[in-house]
Amino acid sequence: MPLADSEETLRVYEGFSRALLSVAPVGVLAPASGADAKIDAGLAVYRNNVRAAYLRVLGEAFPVVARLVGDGFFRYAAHEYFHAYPPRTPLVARYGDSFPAFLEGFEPASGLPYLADVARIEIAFLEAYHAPEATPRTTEEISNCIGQSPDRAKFAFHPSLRILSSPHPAYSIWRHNHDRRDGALTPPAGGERVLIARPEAEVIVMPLDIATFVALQALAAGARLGGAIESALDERPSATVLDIVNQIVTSGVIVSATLN
Amino acid sequence: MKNSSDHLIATIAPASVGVGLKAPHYRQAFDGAHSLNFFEVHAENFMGAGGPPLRWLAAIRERYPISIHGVCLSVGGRDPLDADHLERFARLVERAAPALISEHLAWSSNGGVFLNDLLPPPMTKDTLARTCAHVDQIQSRLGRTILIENPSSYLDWTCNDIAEPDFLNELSTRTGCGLLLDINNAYVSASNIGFDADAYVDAIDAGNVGEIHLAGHAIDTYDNVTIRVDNHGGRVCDEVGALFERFTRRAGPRPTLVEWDTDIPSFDTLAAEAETARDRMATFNDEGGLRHAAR
Amino acid sequence: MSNDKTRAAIAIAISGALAASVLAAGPAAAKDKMDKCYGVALAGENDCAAGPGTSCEGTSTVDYQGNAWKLVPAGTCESIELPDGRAGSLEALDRDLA
Repeated sequence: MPLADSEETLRVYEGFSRALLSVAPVGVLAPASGADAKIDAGLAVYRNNVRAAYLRVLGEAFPVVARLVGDGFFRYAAHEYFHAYPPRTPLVARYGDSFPAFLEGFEPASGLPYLADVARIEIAFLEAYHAPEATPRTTEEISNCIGQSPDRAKFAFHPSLRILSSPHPAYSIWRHNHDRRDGALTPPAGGERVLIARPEAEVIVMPLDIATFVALQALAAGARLGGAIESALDERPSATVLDIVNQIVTSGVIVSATLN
Repeated sequence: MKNSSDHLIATIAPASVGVGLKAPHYRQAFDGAHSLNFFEVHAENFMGAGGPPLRWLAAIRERYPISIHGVCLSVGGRDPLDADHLERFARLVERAAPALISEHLAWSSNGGVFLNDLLPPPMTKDTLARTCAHVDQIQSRLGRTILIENPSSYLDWTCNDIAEPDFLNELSTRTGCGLLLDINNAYVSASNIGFDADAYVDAIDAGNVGEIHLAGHAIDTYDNVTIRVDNHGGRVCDEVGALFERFTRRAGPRPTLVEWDTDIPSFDTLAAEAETARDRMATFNDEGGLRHAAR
Repeated sequence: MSNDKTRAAIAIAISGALAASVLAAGPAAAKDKMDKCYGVALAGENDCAAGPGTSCEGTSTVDYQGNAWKLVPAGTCESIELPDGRAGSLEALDRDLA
């Protein structure tokens, strides 16, 4: 049953929330009482609170992007993002979900083609951090389950697992800055692939060669291990089965292995 | 984390002190080299499906009573309560079996846009009726009563026709909810809006108060207007301490929590601030009409 | 390349690789026990405190367009040299595999 509001009550909610999201001088904030100077000061505090909270949250969610572009530029990008995408979620940890896509189209950052993919690694990191718990299987357990006919194995993965592929060396750039390494970086030519997961309490971020990436992608889509390895070798004939299998079964991201 | 059905819900004795639990302090809170009695967490920071925050909360709640403090339900808002968010809140309450649960007399979303600030609602009859309905809805979903906290204000609305303490008392009477009296908020609002903080605190029905908040604030100026900003960024000032003593003298002790959310200090500094509050409270330990403390 | 012969070869290679992985998997490196159990808590939290007063962020005095220097990224990106200087579009690659 909706409760009817008086016109004045309505004006507080509608007028004030509009004034908060805007940056224009308000002139008269109709629902507020008191001297004009006091109203201006009060509104400044509220406007500041709203933006400062999101700026802080974005900075905490994207520390590598912030380090890459510097504080001044990051504040600028966050400010533009806030006005382009007013927050609609009460969970501030989710506010940056569309920030990578925003950065992709953000003209002032167009000289940094890898920036959006670095931001995607940071989002995947946060998703893995908050993902459900599940118990990873040890290499020995996996072997016991599928040892009789491992090419027929199917795997279920930890809910925190994310794999990303970038046409840029996004992983090397992320790692260099996440570890706060100093000095110049000349990342390898070509794209990179990365695995992000939280098999235990800590998030792991590790590079994947293209063959292992393709195999993991196939396995995640429901393929059997034999078929997944075949696809991987089609993609990169020089890869070795030993390397691919070893990376997949020791990464701690398999929570069940079956032959069914 | 286990379900509440596996645990008795811990209670918090009236003369207890605690601190708002911040991520850098999880380990020291858990280690127990302190004499704090309880910890309060912001509900929204534990609404993920798993991971370190929930792992730490599960560990700490095995040793200390927990208070869950919501900051996003927009209880005083015009929008209907966010049903998904209320469900997340309820799941967390089931997981953590907190001794206390609280939210704010404030709004933080309107028309679906979330503003991430605790905005003071208009103190009107229609807002009171809707806020009561929201509190009823939360309490019936959780199956227990909650505490509602007084806001800090930087603006006053022309349409206000109910005094804020009366609004809170009436909300408590109608819904059965308790009150979380934030002494710093009362002091900050009184200074910014221009009312008497002593009279405000005196007007709160002490029997409904189930918890006290203390915090530091900043003094800022904007075009020659002095404004007190509730930034939880420092020590509790003497005036707020005196106001706390004033309430305690009348009402007796309540579980008292120190919040320090920006420029987060060392755990020891924060714990010492809570011990200062304990000392202030000890003076009045045997007095006052305590009816409603540990809920 | 998919024929029965390569399939059989792959199956044999997988068996060997699995066995080698089991042998190679020694005990995990000793780590801080608390961090291992509970993890390192990140910031990025909701709170109920006010921001930094009246200054800067929320006021109409913030005009980034007027501060040209802010339009140029100026962090560690300056010390990164892409070998082939490629630019170009990025595909959406983030996949939830669970």
